[in-house]
Amino acid sequence: MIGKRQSPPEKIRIEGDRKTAIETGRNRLMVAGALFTAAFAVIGIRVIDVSVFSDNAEPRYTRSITKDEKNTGRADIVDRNGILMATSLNTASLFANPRLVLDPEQAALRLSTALPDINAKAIEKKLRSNRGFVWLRRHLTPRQQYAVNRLGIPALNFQREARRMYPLGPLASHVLGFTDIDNKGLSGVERYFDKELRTRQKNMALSIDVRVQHVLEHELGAAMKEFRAIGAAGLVMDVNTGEIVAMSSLPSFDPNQSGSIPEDLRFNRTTLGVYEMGSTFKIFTTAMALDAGTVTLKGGYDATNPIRIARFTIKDFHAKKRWLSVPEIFMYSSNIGTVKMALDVGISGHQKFLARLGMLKTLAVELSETGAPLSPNRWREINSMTISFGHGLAVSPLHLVAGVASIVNGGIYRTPTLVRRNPADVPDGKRVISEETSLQMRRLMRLVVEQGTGRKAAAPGYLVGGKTGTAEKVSGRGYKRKALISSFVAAFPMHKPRYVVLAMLDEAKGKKKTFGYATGGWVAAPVVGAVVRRIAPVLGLRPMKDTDAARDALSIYISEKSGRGRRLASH
Amino acid sequence: MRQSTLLWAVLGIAVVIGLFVMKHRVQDLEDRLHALNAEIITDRDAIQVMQAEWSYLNQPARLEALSKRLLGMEAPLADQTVSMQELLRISDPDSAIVPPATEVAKKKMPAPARPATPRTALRKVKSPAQNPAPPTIQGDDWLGPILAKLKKSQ
Repeated sequence: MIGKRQSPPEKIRIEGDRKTAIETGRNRLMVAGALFTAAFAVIGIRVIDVSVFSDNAEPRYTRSITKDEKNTGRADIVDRNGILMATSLNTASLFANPRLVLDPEQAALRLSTALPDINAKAIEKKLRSNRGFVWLRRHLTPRQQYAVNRLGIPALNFQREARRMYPLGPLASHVLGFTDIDNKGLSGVERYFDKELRTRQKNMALSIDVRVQHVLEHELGAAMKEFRAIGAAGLVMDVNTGEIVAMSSLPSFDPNQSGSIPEDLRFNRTTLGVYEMGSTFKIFTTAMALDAGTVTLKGGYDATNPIRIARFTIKDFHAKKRWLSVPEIFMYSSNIGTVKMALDVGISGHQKFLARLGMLKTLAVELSETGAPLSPNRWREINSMTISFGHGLAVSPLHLVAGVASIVNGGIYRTPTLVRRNPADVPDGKRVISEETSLQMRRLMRLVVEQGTGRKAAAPGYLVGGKTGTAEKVSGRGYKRKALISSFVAAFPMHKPRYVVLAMLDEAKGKKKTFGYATGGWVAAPVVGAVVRRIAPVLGLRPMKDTDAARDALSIYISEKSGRGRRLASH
Repeated sequence: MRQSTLLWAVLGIAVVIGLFVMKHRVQDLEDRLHALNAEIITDRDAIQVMQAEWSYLNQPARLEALSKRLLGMEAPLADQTVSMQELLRISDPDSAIVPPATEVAKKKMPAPARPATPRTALRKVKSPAQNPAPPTIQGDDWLGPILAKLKKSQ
């Protein structure tokens, strides 16, 4: 090459047509060369870009599963102690390709040996159809899947599907709610936290304790059966944190059968149902009067004559027809005395007090089924009078329990919750009554169990205190005399309350044993007593061996008009 | 020039072979990972099923029925509940660890009709231990004597 350059070629002159032809060729070559250079430049830049500047390496064919990655889609729900309440399981659903089935009759027959509850005829019909895909059975158990697999029938196959399961069955069904076949929450916590449960990786811990829940449901169920009630509701709430430890509405349902739950069973009596609670409201009226200072424990009112206002007459159920001191008014559940107590505080004071206790608006509990209280549009004297003993204002049982908790816990109202709270995260709450009043109310409630209408709620060693309530149900424009809401709301242990317990029976009927009475003291109080006796050891409360001192401390002077004090509740 | 061409050729072939081997190795590893993942998913499913089954078998209603039927247990009364401290106060420091429980049970219940009652008492004794806060005795280490006894008996 070098040698050739040393002797330059002779200059050749090319002219005419040939010259233009060569020019054209050269131009074309230039264009093609430029295109190729550009293409290579682009490729080169891209190569550098991909290999140097891009931070993701080659896309990976697979990756390792992280430790807490879920493969079932919906987060589990556990109780406060970590016991599984709701979970999603990957189940196998059986399907077939009928075109590949050799002998439908034989296949159906053999399948019915593995799955005894299926209809062999119907399966055979499905297998004879001229389709490419038929569901034979959704959501098999692992055992059933194994049995079907063992048959070795060709053309049968399994499809993995997640299914929501509630291993505790009907326990706490109204709290949990249920989901539809596509795992969409339809009621209860499942619905309220639907989005969160879908995205969440960790378990969701509720404030419910399944052991307490069971005791509550068991005892309520027994009472409901005994007194032929149409329904029952019960609650156990931690007074210091606002956590709902148990919530039961009977009759309940099995959330595993989500497709076939009758509408009336889904009704949550504890949060969605609003009832005129009756005498249990006297707790609030008395607390309000004591806190406002319009009356003291030594004071009292004349309850000799019924009160007549407009077309109503307010009478006493356990009429004593004499002057009654405040403890006696509370103990004997005197409507007349309570009305007078409320009137002394005044209408607007009464209304404000109930508003502070959350009685006038819907509760912000973590359920989609919450009922708005039914309160009078215009609050007149007559309203204040009837509301003072629990008529004319309908609230849910949870409203009542949250209110009572704030009365006994030293006077702090906290919104009830179904989600477990860390002791450090307990909200401060807001003060509704003074600590002094709270102590007085605890003494009064103790008195009811010691001597008054709630004696059947006693649980030795646990110092139960409470208040009975019996209200006639509203029907149309009036009240039904025989349809009662009988309830008992209690707290224990009364010297340092930890839990509030409510038992409520809907339309309980009296028995010979209760002398025909279906009032709160006869039908609901025993439930509370039984529940407390059983749950207290579970909740880590030890019975007091020597209760005399504590009972003395909770005892109360009942003054008489004559001024001579009579000491009660110390034996 | 020939040498350098040879060198480049050899290097090129070496790189190609190396790359080929590496690629296969990675593929093998990824296959293995894939298989392991599948195994993990199956195992997790199985664990999930077992957890559900455990919860199902531990339904409080079922446990109550079983312990009533098979063990003759009843709901404990207030005076059948004894705390660890009370137990130690009552028990004789020289006796073995189990007799005090029966002693307490007898002492606390005037009429232990069934043989199952001491067991009930024993079961309840455990309940304070389940509390988050362990029982404390001012000054005294209540666990000490028990551990000493256990050592002696071994």
